[in-house]
Amino acid sequence: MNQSILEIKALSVWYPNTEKPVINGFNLNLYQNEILCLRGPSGSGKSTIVASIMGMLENYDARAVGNIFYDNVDLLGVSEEKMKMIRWHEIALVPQFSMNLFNPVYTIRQTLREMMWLKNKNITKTKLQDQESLLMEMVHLEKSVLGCYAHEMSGGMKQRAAIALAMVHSPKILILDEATTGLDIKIQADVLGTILRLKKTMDMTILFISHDAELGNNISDRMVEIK
Amino acid sequence: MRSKIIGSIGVTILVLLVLIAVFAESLAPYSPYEQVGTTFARPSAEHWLGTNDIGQDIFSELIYGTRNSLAVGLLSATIAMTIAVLVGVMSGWFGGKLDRILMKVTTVFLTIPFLPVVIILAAFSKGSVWSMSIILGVMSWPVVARILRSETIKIKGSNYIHMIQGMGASDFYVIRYHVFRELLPLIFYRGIIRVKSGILAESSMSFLGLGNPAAKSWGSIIYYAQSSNALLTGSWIWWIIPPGLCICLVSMALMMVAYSFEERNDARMEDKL
Amino acid sequence: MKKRIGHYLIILVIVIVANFFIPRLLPGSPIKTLIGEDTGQMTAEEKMGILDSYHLNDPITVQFGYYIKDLFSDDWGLSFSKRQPIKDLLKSAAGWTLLLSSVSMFFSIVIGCCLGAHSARKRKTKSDLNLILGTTFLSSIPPFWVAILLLAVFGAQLRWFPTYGAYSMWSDKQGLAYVLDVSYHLVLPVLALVLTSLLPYFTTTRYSVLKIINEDYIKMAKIRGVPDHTINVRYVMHNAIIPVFTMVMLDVGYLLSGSILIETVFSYPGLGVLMRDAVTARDYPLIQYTFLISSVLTIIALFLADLCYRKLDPSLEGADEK
Repeated sequence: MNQSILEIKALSVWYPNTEKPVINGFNLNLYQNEILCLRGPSGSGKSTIVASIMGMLENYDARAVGNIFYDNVDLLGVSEEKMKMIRWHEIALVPQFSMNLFNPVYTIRQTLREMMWLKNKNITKTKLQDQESLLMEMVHLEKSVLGCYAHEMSGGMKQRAAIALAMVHSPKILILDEATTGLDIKIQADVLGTILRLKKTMDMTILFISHDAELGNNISDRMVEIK
Repeated sequence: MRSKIIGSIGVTILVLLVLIAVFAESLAPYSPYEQVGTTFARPSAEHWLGTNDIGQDIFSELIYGTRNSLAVGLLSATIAMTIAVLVGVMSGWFGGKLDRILMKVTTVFLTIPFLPVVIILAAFSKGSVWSMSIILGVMSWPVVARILRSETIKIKGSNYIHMIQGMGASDFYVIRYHVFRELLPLIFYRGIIRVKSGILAESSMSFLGLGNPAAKSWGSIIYYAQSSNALLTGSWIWWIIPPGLCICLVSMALMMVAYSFEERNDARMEDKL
Repeated sequence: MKKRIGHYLIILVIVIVANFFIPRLLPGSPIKTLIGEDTGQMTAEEKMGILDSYHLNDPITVQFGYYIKDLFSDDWGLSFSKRQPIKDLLKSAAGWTLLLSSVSMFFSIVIGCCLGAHSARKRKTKSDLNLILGTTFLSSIPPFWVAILLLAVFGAQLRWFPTYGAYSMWSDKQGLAYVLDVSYHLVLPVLALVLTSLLPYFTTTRYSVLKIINEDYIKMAKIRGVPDHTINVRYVMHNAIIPVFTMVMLDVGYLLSGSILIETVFSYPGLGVLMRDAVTARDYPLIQYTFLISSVLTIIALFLADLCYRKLDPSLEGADEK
């Protein structure tokens, strides 16, 4: 078996004004190069686990106990400075379909280029162009989509653009939080195909979060249930 | 709690001002239309705020001015709100061709520059309370009509309206007893704001010398003070400041009522700010 | 875009037509409206002469033809109260009004938006509440009254600022000195206008910033590591400014209105003062043309605002065609 890349140890999370934790003593090992499906009914705390990994708990005023180890660093205790280096660079997220991920006044090109530029302020224009076409190819989108605003794209297109955005820094771990829920079956299959291909070509580890057991079985190497 | 206090202060001020307007004859020490002292007198025991350029008592003018301001404010707001409700609700409820035509008219009215039109209309029709109110009312309904239209469309789309219609209620019945009732807080809120704008607009008109020269209005007191060089003689302190403060007082009181009303109906109103 | 231009052209036509019909439909004899109240001293012949020179004896359709022809000709006649060509009067007045209203509008929007954004970030704190009360209070003050007080205190009493006009008369300033002189004269009028017109920009910005900082894309941008500065400017402010621009569109129609009142107080030589003088002198041709010019300026301003709006809000791009 491969080496563990992300380890969650005894994670408990409380939301404000509640006695009972949403997640109580949760453990999980994510091994390199696998697709792990984390399955559970809605309300079981799947998104809370994602928020804990991504360091988004502050947004919900939530409180967490436990450890999340990545590369010998505890993501729960790490400084914001260090977290900035890991988040999106090493661990990226494709959020739920219902989330509007894109700034409505940016084109997809602007969003992607902003990310590339943030990583390397001296990047040349040709480099930007090369990278963005590469990303588009990766997620099977026409190059013309780069000029689109979020409101001009269909759900499937948006979801694939979201994957492209997550892939900007070539992360080691990709988290897909209900990434295909709410999409048309055909488009779902298409997006899933993209994900599988990425895993093969990019040598990535994928944490796939879904409430749908069948879908999880089809795509993942291993499945973990939470109640 | 705080909004309740602010609201009651506002209502108290308004009630007081209405009483002053109604009982102006008995409250004013002099008739504001007659010469009752020397011209340009400084404030004294007889004339609390002095006299104007033709020897009329400024304090009495101020009391009578309440009538004009409140009357024009209320009348113009009533006219504007009536048109706005008719246009907004019909446009939103019936939709289609009627909606398109009404909205076109609304946009045209929105585009026409407000004060130039009001000035030109006021200049051609000597400004009585009625003509002033009609002009201001007719020129200030479009924004409210637009808001009411989009609200009506929202209400029309709601489930319970579909249900009532399914039970065979007529359009008129639904509008009268359901749509209108839902719109009422919004209409009331917008109405208060319109009264305030009406009062400010009336004072602006009178200040430009477009009001009825015989009628007493806070704006026209300032107009005459300004044209008698009150600024240079120093008499602006008792001649220009008091009427201005009166205008501020009314519009502040109205804003206070509107504010506390909005706080109480919070969630619904904040969308329309 | 074509549809938008068409829309503004239609409004322009409506204004031109209304400008012709309003004085003719309102009660009062044309000769009285044309030359004021003292018609009694004129002989019948003089009256006919005046009526003829304004083509008032012709049928209304012919009059309308003359009106249109005059409009597009180079000569708009003489203002009899000012004894100057109407066109020259309007040209200089329009310039001053444009300067005053655009400068004030710029500052109202910038200051209003900044205060609104600040208030939103400090939601439910004391400084938020103070700003809400302060701007509401300012909006209840009649603008001309604020102007008079400013003039009385900072002009007449303290003599910090000039009390009259748009530039120093009888001085022959050139270049930078002239610009400074004009700006110096602008301070009080602009201050009066800005103070009383902050409220709509303040409330709209405050409300839309409050809404936007809770949007998913703002949270996600933070997670993605977009720096705070970029988020504030290009994510929050850019999106928040869109509804503010809707406000601007509604306000442009009132823009000249405010400036007319303020000009009167400061004897600023713009369209407002011209219009007031024309009204007092019952100089109807001048009233008509001043009205026409201010309307046309408003329509042009609206059109420009509309263009900017479309640049700012990508979801409007091509919305007409759909």
